[in-house]
Amino acid sequence: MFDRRFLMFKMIVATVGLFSGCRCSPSTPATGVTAGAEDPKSALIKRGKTVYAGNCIACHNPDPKLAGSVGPDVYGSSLELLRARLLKGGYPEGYQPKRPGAGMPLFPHLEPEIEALHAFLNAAP
Amino acid sequence: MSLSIFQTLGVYYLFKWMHFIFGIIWIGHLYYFNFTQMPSFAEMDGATKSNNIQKLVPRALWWFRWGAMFTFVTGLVMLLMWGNMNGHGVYKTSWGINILTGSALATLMFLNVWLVIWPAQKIVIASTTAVAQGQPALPEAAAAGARAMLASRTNTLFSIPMLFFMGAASHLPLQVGPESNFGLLFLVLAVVLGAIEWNAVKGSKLGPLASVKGVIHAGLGLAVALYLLVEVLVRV
Repeated sequence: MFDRRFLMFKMIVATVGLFSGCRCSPSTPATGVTAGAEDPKSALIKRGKTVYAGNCIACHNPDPKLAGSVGPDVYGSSLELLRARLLKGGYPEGYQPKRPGAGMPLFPHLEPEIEALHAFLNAAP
Repeated sequence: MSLSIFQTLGVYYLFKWMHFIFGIIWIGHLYYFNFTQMPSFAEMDGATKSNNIQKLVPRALWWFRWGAMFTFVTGLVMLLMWGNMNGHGVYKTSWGINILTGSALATLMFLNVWLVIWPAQKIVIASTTAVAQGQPALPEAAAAGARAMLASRTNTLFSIPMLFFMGAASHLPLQVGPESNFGLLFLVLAVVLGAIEWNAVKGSKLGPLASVKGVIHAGLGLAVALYLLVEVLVRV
């Protein structure tokens, strides 16, 4: 009985270690982030990826190049579009919405992160 | 052709899928114990109850505790993977605050299963088996049964806000930004959850948890209270 439980314990520890401790590759090719590259632009893109994963994926696809369950694909969004959608609602003048609707809440608390978000959403593949 | 399931997000999703299955096994049995078994046992005659405790309860407890174990492990893997994939700053975002609040509740529940409910139920089963074989009951059996019930009711109470926050992580963005203050939120959550958990482990107050209706209402109330606390305190 003890051996079986010990084996089970070792399998659990190995599972957690294997999958969570690994240096996972970026989940999307959109980031352009590589391990060890910490120049200011890379740091900004990395920060934007964190902001995106923590706030946007409730509606948008974890891969911003793909359409989400509620929101459309957002890869390539301009700074102007991000400011309009996050801070004021509505769209920049002349912009044709991919999926029009008033469902998106405002995110005024993310104003300091818009530059990072823009960098992530426009990073070279 | 590259299959989505073999991408990093696909592996993450496999853990989420397993997390759902193990979670259903765990919480399904928790609700069975609390909503179905406890009220039924209260109405059963001694022989029927004894038979059930010897033959049904051990099987249900096996699925219950191992469901809890693998829900916890798959949840822990996902929690660490998401930080590894997206940067550890993700724990200080809307997703992070929601998932960490849900995880705190779920971790207390997991510990209650393995360190309180299962050890206490082993005593109850051993005592019932002894009596069925004509031996005296174990003197600590009554207290163990009461402790198991209180911890199980506490887990039912916690499960309602736990599921709210777990779901909110991916479906309800909160107003969490770089200006948000997490210290006070952490302190208040630690005090509120710590007090309820202390009662489950050392105390004896059942209060509204005594009845099925009471524990459901208390769970909904706790979910609303914790949600409001989180919404307000991250903006302080």
